[in-house]
Amino acid sequence: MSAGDLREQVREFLAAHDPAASDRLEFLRARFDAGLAWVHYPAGLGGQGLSRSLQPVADAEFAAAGAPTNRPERNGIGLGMAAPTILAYGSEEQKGAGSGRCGPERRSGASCSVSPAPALTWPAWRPGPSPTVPSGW
Amino acid sequence: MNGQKVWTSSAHVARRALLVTRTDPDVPKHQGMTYFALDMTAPGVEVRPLRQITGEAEFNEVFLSDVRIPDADRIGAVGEGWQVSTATLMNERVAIGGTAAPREGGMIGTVARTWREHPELRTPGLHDRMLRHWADAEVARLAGARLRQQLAAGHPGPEGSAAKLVFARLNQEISEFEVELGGADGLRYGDWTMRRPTGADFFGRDPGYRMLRAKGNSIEGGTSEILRNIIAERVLGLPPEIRVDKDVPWKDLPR
Repeated sequence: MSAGDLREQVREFLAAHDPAASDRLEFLRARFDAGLAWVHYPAGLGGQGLSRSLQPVADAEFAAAGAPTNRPERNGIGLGMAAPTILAYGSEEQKGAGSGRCGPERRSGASCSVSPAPALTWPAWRPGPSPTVPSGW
Repeated sequence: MNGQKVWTSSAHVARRALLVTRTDPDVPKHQGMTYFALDMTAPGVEVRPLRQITGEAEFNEVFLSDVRIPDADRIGAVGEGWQVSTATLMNERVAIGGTAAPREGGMIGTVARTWREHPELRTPGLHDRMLRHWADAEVARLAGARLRQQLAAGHPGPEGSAAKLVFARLNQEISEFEVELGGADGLRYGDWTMRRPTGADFFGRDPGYRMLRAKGNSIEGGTSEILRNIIAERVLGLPPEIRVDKDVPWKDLPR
């Protein structure tokens, strides 16, 4: 998939899910389910197996639309370290627990509760421009 | 589980922690470890703030006393904890040292701004150092961009260790330079109030804070000494350091 295709995909998603009119958590879950949370993750786990380098393309489209984020700057450890570890070594159950379905009903799943109190709704590690480095150690 | 961990970021807000444990003392030290996602609300988990030289208690020490961990919270196989934690740490190093920044982003950006706005601070000697720091920061930035292009095609490898190593060295050098550049003003320290922030801020506040906080950069996310070993052995392929304890059962190591 090209950057242009991905941009188009995000625009279609935004047309179907108006960020201004959506509940934050529901929006993030829908983004996850659409494979637009972190595009290099596998399908079904928030991504669609694309190149990691395409993630900033999706992020820029969402940011331009004023879409809510899962505040990745607050959870460098959960998103940047726990999530790839679970992806590599976790059981299918553990991966599923972190798959954007970490509302109150799923809070006990291992990976979704790696995050601080606000549920880990979708993972978004990527090298970001934020001058505040997440507390990733 | 019993034990203690000194530097535990976000332990005061986290619901889960990544925990690597010694589960079999009869095998050499890289074996016999098991990895868990620890429930921080479990009985026996105690989180204490650790106040740092900056005045803040940005991180914590965590004590585990007879904590019981269900097997459902194990990540990876029993005894496979070293391999699992290596995956975690490779990602950590890339997350710390490999972040994208614009030209003059990060620590060099704050100094460059001061340099431009305060011509009265300039001397020929400082000018020379300023430019050397600027060039070093730009080289690190471009090398990071190349690393991310490689990453796009795969998972983090040992190369991320080099980015993190340089990140720490430059942050320390440049933040020290900034304090020096400020002259007497560089000795001022804005606020030494004890706080428990939820994240680390490397580039915020004043030059004194940035200089003191940067001291941690060569410890957190892999010490610079460990990273140099990794670069030497796994990137450059140099002969490994002699390790007399590598094949000895963990329980027989002198301590």
